[in-house]
Amino acid sequence: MSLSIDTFYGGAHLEHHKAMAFERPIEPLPVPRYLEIALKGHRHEPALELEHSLLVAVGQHVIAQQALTQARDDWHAAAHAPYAGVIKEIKWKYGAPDGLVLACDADQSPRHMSPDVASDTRLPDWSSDALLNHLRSMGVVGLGGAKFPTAEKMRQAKNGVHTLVLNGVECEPYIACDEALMRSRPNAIILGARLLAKAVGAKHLVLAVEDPLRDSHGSVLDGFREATQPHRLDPDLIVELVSVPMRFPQGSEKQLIKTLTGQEVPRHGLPQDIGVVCCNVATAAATLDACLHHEPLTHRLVSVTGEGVKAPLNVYAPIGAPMASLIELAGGYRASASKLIEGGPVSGVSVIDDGQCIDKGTLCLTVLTDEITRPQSGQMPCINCGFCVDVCPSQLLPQTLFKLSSHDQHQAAQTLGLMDCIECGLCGEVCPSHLPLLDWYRYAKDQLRAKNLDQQRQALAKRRFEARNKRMEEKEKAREAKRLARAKRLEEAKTAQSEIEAAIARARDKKSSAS
Amino acid sequence: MKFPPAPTPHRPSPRGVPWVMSRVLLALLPAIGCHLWLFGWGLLIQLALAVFFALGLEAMLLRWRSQPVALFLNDYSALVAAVLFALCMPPLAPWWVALTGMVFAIVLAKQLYGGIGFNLFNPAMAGFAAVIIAFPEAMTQWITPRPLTGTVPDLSTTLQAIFFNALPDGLSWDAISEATPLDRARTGLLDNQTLTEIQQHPSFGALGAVGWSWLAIAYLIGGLYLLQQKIITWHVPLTLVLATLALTLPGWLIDPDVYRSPIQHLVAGSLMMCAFFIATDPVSGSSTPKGKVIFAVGVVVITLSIRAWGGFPDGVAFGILLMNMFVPLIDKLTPPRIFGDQTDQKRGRSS
Repeated sequence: MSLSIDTFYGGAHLEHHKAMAFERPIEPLPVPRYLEIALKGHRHEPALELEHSLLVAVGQHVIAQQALTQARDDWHAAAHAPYAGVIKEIKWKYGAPDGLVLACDADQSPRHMSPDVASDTRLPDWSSDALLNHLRSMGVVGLGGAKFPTAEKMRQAKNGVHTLVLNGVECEPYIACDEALMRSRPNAIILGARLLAKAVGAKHLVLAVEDPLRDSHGSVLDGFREATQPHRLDPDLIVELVSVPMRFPQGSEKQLIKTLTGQEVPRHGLPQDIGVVCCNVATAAATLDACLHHEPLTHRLVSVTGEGVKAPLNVYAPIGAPMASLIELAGGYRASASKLIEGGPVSGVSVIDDGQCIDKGTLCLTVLTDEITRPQSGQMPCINCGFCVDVCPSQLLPQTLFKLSSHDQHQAAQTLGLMDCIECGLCGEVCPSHLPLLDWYRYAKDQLRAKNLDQQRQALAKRRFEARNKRMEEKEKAREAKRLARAKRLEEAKTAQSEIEAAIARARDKKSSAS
Repeated sequence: MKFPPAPTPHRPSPRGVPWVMSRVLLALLPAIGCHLWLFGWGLLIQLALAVFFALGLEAMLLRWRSQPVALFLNDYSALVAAVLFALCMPPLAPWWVALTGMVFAIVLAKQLYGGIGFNLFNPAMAGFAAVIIAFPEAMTQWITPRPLTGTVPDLSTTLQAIFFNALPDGLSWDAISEATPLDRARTGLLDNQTLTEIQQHPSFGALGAVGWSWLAIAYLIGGLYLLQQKIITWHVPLTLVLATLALTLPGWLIDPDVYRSPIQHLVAGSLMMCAFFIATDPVSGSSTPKGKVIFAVGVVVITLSIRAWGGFPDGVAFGILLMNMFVPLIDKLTPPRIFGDQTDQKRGRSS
């Protein structure tokens, strides 16, 4: 596959600000006193099912890597205990378990990130179904932020794809966890991807990176050369390393596929519609750990970075660790720290309380300083300048969507493609009026989703009601039929009785007349 | 640690509205310099008047509308409208023309529609259109550019003309003012003269308008700076220039005695200014790439029609205002193709 010259529309070149996270080596987070493990995963997961998937109860002692919930189907990924401890609390939200508080036992040593494996490590030769079932039970989800269960993603893509794109394009400024992983575990990433490629039946494996060639560290791709050699698991798989141009949001799945193949993923479709499936490098490494070492997904790399922390670094942290503990490892806040963001500074979500805990989708904690977060002028009305139109990678009209979203015209916004927004946040970053565009889109999308869910629930309730009515009707009919039958039987019996009585009477009459 | 709830963008752009507006002002400097050299002190006084009235009226209206006065005065948008308006004014126009223009521009066209971002019409052009209709006499008294006479009115003459609507003894309007080349060509053509005859007059020069062509080049320089700073996109200026050339070239090729040359159309009036500074106004213009092209073509068609058959020598202001009315429709009909959209159907009808 050759790099298409025609890349995606819009986007922008953003300063990377990544070097600061590499000034210190990766460190494991000291075992926190408690962990709060989120049970709700991907946003579109049907949450109602979660209730039945709990495997532990409050007060129970669990050992490290013990399953806390079970995956009932491919839409769910199991949750596991990163460390041994006692279940202190199960938090409920909207009638479903939402989080699980685990008080970690003292005297445990923190888990380090596994070292890289050899490029010719023997891989388990499982069938596709066996592998995907295993991934599901090991809690492997997309670690690029979406938290979509990997098993479900691969199952949907199975047999329809020729290429597995391994996404190492970490386009958002500050975030450096994927690059840290690629520099430390290149073979694990490629081997994990080989397993996934085999499971979906892909013939090509393409690793894409945005290669800034930072001095002293050298190219990210150097570590991968050995791993591209044919492997006995799948000698025919072609492994390619591609360096794509630096341009935000190049790491977005659809934009990356456009750059690599020149093809656009259809609007309401998925990458497999054009024969491609995408997976983050960290997901590939987690796949290998799950399959080779039977390690469930309990830890991940998180960049703790930004001008607002004293000593930025990449942390190997247990899922559920409080953000404050990660910040502490990064030397704590500087006095000028003004904003804590989960994710990067463009598309991330600002966090109000650092007692909040990280989940499987937390890539990065970015702490920005007042100097960066304070606008030079106050928020103004939209002046329709179109800077946002020029950068929108989904080719939308962000300013129009903003006007519609902020006036609760969600349906109209949907018609204009609100749901095609990939929430990259670039529109807000270039907005001269400093409008909270992304916040409005997220709000409007939530409203639309809620409405959609409402309609689904209503439809379901209607279906159930109608089914019940039908059932009752049939029951009533059956009872009526039974009643009629009994009445008929009675009638018949009565007729028989009267016939007997008539016969007796006749006999008696005969007798009496004879005597 | 807790942080106050804060909306996106986490890193607000350093290119805020005041930055954008101040770049536009900066881009107007070549034209202002050129204008001052060509026509003398007049522009300076017109600028001072327009800015004074614009800011005063803006502040009054903002206060009346209970809006933050300092925030909106510091966005420089009123300043840009005032400067554009002043650049369109005859240099010796009396002071009340500027006042009337600014009342229409700032009060009616801008603040009563909701202030910056909500105005349907381009404020500078609304003000300018109002005064050319209201004061046709005062608006045609352009002074003769310096290259033709070697001199321009001095400061005291200028002040006297603007504030007292009078000229010093011994000086008459006819001596210092002259019809603009566009005006001269229009009246000449109406008198059934041929352009060859009309253009015997020295004010036409090689490019079609002595002095005015320099001004057009000054606007071009400023406009290129705006393009380079990515404050405007190429759509409007390029379309506007190409449409002007395309629409005027055939006529000129067929009969240069009846139809003016494309270059003269471009440089003699305010089309160059319009291409880079007026039609590119984001608020009142179209915001889709295709829409910008349609908008620019519309402006050219209306402007050229007015030049050819209308009652005014130039028609840029009316072209802009009329096309402003079409903007909501244009925007609705020209949404860009969404990423991954494989149907050719119009959005809004599908899905």
